[in-house]
Amino acid sequence: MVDDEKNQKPTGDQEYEDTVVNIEGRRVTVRTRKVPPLPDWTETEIVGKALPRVDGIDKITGRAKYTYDIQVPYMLYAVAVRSPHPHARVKNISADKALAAPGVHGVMLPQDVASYTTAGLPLLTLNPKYTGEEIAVVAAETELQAEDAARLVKVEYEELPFVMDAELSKSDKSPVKFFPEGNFIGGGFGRHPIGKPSVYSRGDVEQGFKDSDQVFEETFTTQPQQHSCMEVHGTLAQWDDDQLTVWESTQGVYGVQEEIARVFKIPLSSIRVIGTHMGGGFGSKGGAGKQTALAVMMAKRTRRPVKMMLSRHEDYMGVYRPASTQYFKIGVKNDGRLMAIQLKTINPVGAYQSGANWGSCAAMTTEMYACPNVHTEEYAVFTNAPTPSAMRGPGNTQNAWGLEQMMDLIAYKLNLDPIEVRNRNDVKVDQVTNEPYASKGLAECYKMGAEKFSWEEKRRRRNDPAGTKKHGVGVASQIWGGGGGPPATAIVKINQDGSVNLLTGAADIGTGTRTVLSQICAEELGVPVNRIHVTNADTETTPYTLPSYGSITLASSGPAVRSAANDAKKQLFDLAAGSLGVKPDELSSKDGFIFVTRQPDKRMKFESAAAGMPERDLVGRGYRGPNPKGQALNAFGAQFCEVEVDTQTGEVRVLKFVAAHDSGRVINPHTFASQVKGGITMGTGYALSERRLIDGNTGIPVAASMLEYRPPTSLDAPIDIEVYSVDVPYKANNIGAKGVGEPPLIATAPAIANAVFNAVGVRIYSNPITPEKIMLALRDGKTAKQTA
Amino acid sequence: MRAFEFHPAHQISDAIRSLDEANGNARICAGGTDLLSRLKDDVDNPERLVCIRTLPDLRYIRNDKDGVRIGALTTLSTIEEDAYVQKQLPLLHQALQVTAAPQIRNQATMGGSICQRPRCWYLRGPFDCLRKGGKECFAVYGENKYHAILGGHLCYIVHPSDSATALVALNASVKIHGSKGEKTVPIEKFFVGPEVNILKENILEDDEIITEVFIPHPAPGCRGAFNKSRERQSYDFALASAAVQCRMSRGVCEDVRVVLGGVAPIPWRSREAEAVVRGKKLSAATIREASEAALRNAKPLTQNDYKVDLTKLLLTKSFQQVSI
Amino acid sequence: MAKKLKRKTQKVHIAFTLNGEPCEVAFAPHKTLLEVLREDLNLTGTKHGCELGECGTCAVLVDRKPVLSCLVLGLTVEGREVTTVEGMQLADGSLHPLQTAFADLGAAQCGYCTPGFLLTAKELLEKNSKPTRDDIKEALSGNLCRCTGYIKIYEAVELAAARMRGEAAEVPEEVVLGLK
Repeated sequence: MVDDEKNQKPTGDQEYEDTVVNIEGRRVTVRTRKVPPLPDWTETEIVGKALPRVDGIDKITGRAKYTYDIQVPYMLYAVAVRSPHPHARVKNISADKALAAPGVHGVMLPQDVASYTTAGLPLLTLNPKYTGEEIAVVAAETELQAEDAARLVKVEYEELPFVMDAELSKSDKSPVKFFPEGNFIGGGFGRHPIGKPSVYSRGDVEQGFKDSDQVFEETFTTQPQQHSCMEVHGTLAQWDDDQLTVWESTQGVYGVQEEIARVFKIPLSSIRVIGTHMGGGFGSKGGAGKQTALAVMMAKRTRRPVKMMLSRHEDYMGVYRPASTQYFKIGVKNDGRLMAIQLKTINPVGAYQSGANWGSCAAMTTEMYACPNVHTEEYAVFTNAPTPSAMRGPGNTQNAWGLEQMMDLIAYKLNLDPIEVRNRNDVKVDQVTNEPYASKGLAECYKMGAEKFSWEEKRRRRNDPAGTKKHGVGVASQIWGGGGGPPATAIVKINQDGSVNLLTGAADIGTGTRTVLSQICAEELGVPVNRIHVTNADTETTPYTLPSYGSITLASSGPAVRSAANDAKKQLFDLAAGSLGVKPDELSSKDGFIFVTRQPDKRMKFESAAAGMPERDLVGRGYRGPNPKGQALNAFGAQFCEVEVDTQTGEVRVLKFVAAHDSGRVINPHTFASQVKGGITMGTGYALSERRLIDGNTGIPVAASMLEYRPPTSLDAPIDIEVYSVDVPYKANNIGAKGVGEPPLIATAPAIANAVFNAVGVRIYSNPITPEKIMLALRDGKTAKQTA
Repeated sequence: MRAFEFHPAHQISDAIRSLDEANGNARICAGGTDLLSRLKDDVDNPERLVCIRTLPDLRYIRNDKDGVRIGALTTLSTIEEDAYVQKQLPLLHQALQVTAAPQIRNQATMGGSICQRPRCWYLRGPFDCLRKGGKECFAVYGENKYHAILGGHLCYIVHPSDSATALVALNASVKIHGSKGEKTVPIEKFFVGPEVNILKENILEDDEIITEVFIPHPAPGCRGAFNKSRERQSYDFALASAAVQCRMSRGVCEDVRVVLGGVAPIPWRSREAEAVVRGKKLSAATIREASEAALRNAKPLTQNDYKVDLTKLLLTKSFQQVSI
Repeated sequence: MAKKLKRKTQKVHIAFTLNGEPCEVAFAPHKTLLEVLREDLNLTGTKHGCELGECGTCAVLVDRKPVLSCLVLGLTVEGREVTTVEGMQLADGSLHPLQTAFADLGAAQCGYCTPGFLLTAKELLEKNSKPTRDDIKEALSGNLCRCTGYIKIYEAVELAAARMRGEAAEVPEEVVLGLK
C-alpha cells in the first residue's frame, strides 16, 4: 500500500521520477519508473465495444469460487467472542470450558496476541471500546461447534461509562476521555494533533461574506452507511510449514500480503494471497481485516487451515461510512457567483485513532466550485462505536449531500436554474493545488444530461395543486479522483499457439476489471478478446498493483496492461519482420493478423508468428508510468433525477435518473453503464432507506441486519436509469480512461433530495429521506431540519 | 444455531405428545422462516423442534357451505394464488401480496404466519427485555420509531403479521389441537396484548398447535380493502396497515370490521371506527370521523407520532376503496 | 409427563433428489439446507448471504419453488426435489437460456447474488413465459443485489424469456456515448 515510509525510498536512478497519485481523496507522492510513451489510440476495434464479461460463464454456472466457497481438508472454523458492552474492562477471562468442548482445537485470548495490531487496532482486547469488539477467538471442526464453544468462553466485565453522541463526546461533559488531550482529532489522513481540528483555508472568508449580496447558513447531517457486500468479510488461512496461503475476500491481494508480512514479520515470498472472485467490497475490503490476522495466527497455532468468515450480524457491527454533521455558511453574489464558503464538519469515527482517516468530508467543498475564499474545519470525534473504513467515494459522498443541496438552495433563493448557478462557478483549475485539470467535461455533462433528461421542459411542468402525487426534478454534480497511477505492473505472455495469458494483480470486485483489461490487451496485440486468458489477484502468479480503491484500478492497471501488450507485440514483430521481409517498425496488427502497415495485404497470422518463437513463449512486461506533472486528474459527472412524492404517505419513488459522466474513454459501455447504474442504486439507498443504528441508551447496535438496514430491493431502485459518457478526450495516460467506480454514487442522494424539494417544497436535511420525515415536514409546514 | 432434538410428527397426536412432554422447551417447526431466524439470532433456545410439516392433510384450501378452510400448513403463496381468495377475499389477497418477499411466501405457512414473533429489535437483540422475562422495555426511551401507538402496556411491540390483520377483519377463527382436545377460537380472541400476557402474543399453549384457519363466506355486498405502508416496497414489515371489511347495501354500511396493523401489540380492532360508520353512507366526512375515532386513544412514543397520521391515512384509503 | 430431552449432534442421514439425481447425505441435524449443500455436498454455487432469510442470495428450488435455503433445515428436504445453480443446465448439458442471457448482458457483476436470481427467475419463467417488467421486479423483490442496480438483471430475464419463446431476440445495445 502507498504510505509515507515507502515514498522516501531513494532509488537514484535516472529511469525513475516522483509522481502524484490521488487515492480516496488524498494525494500521495510515489517514485516510479518512467515508461516510453505510446501513441494515443485513434480508431479502436475492441476497446469501446460492449463485449460480454470474460468471466460471465463462471459466475452464472456457480463455478466461480469465492473465499467463502473454498474448503480444504482439515479446515477449522473460527468464531470471535465479542464484547456485549460498548465500553468495559475485562476482569477475568477463562477458556477452559471452551477448550474442552467437542471439536475445539484452539482458543486465543488477548494475551496471546498482545504484541500485534492491524491498521492501528488491537486484534483482541481486554478493554473493549465498542459493542462487538473482539475479545477472544475459538476454532473448531465445524462452524456450529465453534459457535457453541465461543459461548463457553467465560468473560467477566466491569462495565465502564460510554459515549455515543459526537457533540457530547467533543464537549467537556463527556463521560469518557479517550485521550488526555481530548476526544477529537483533525479528520482525514495525515498526522494531526489530538484536540485540534484539521483546517483548510484560502483567501479571507470574512471579507468574502462582506462582499456577498446574500449569505446562507444551513446544517446537514448524514447517517452512517454500510457497504452491505453480498459476500461478508472473511479469510481462509493455511500454513504448509513456513509457506502461508490466504484466501481473502479483498479488493487488494497485495495490500493483504503486505499487512500480513508487517504484522507477523515474515517474508513476502512466504505469503500467497488469493482473491480472484470476491462478492463486493465498496471500500470495506481495501486491506487485511482483523479476521485476516486472527485466522493466520489461529492456523499457525492449531496447525490446521482456519476459515474465519464474519456473520452478517458481525458484518453490520463492523466497518462503515461514518456519519457527518456539516455546518455550511455560503456567501454569494446575486448573479450566483460564490464569494465565500465556511464549513465545519463533525464526524464520529469510533474509538480508535485510525478511524479518523475517514472522519473528513470537506474536500469536495474546497474544489468543486470556483470560490476565492474558503475555510473548512473538520473534527473527527471519538465515540464508543466501531471503527469506520473507506466507502465508495469516501468524504465526497457525505459532503455532496450538504454542498449540492446548498447549491440547489442558492439557485432557488436567487431564482436561477440550478445548472446555471453551477455553470457560473465552473473552474478549469484545481483550486487547492492551482493545477489545471488534465481534462474536465463537467460543462458537457450538464449540457448532455439536461438534454437527455429534458431538464428545462420537466422543470417547467407544474403539479396539480389538488393531487397527492407530486413530481419533482433535481440535479447534482460530482468530482472525484480516478486518475490512477503507479505502482501497477502487468505481464503478457504469448504462447507458441498464439494464445495469450494476461497476468495482473488487480482485483475484479464486480466492476469488470478482468474484462476491460482483456480488451485493452487484445486491442494492443491486435487479436480477438477470446484469445486472451486473464489471471488476476493472486500474489504468487500475478504482479504487483495497488488495491482496487479510489477508482484507480482501470487508470492504473489499464496503462500497464497496454504497455505489457505493446512490449510483447514488439518482440513478436521482431520475429515476424524477418518472415515478412520488412523492419519491425513497419508492422501493425489487427484481427489476428500481423501486417505491413503501408501494405495490409502483406500479412501473416498472429499464431504463425508465435509458432516461430524459438523460446516457445515470450513475455512482455508493462509498468504504469508517472502521471503528467502539474495537472489535476479528476473524474466529473452530473446526475438528473425525477421523483414522485406521495404527499400523504411521504413515500418517494425514484422514476428516472439520467447520469452524464466524464471518465475519459469508455473501454466497455456495458461495464461502464453497470458501474453507474449500481452506484445510483446504492445512492438511492443512502438517500431514502439505509440506516445503520446503534441504540443510544445501551450502545448496542439495533439495525444490524439486511432487514433493518434496508438496502434497496428491486421495487425501491430507480425505475429507469440512462447513462451517458461525454467522451471528452483525456491524455494523462496511454489508454485515455479515468475511473468510474465511485463517482456514480456521489451525486445521487443530493439529486434525489433536490428533486424532493422541487416536488413538495420541503427540504430534508438529514438522510435517509424516510416517509415520516416528509410527512412531518409537510404537516408542520416547515423544512425538516435535522430530523434524525 | 444451537443443537436441538428434532422430532418429526406424523400424526397430530404425535405432535401434541411431543410438545407436551417437552414442558415448554419445544417449538413447532412448520415453514421455519421465523423460527430459524430466531434460533440463529440466539434469542430463542428450544431443546426440541417438533416438525409438523410431516403431518398429512394440513395443506388445503377447502370451500364448504359456511366458508373457506385453510389448512395450517398451506403456504402463503398458495393462498395468494387461490382463485377463491382472489375473488371473494380481496382483503386477504392484498395483505399476502405485500407480505415479506416472494421466497418467504413460498415457505411460510398460514399457521406460522399468525404465530410469528414480533420484530422489535430489542426483543430480537441481546436485550433482557420484559417480553423475554426481563425487567424493562428498552423501546420506551430508546429507538421506538417502529413501535406501538395503541394498546401498549409496559411493552410496546407491534404484531408483525399482515395476514393476522386481514384475518381479524374477516372474522376468521382458528382451530387448535392440544392435549385437552380440539377447540375453535375466534381469531380476535386468539391474540392477547401485554396486559394479559407480556411474554406471548397469543393464547396458544405449549402443547397446542393450530391446524386450521376458517374464514366465513363474506355476506353478499361485502367489500374489503387492505393498505400497508412500509419503508421498502418489498421485505418490510408494516409501519402501519389498515384493513376494512364492510357490507354495503345501497351505499349504506350495514356491517363493518376495522383492523389496524403495525401499530399495536395485537391486530387492533377499532370498534370506535366501526361505530362511526355502521348504518351510515361512507361520505368523506364520515370516513374522516371514523379515522379520527380509530386513533383518538393513540399514545405515541418519542419517535412514532407520525404513525398516527399515517394510520388515519391508510384507514381513509381502505374506507374509500370499499365505498366505491 | 416432562421428559429429559437430549440435544442431538450425531449425524442424520437423508435421501432426496438433487439436480435430477438421487442423493444421500449425512449431516448434523441442526444444519440448514444451505450448509448441507455447501459443506456436505460441496455444491458452493449456492451462496451464504445473510443467514436470516433477508437477502435471497441462498435461494434454491425445492419442489420447483424458490425458497431460502438458509431457512430450511436440511432434514426437511427428505424425499423432496432440490435444484441448485449447478443443476440449471438443460438435459443436453447446454446452459439454461437465463444463464446465457445473464452472461451476454453482464447481469452478473461480482456474481455473488447471481445464483439466487437465476433460480428465482427460472421459476417465474416456468409460470409465466411472457412476464412484464413489473412481474419480473415483483418476482425478484426478495433478491438483493448491491452491484448492478437490477436493471441489467431485468433485461436479462426479458431476453431469456424472449429466446425461450423462440423469438429472435437481440442483446439490447448499450449506448453510453451520447455526444456521438
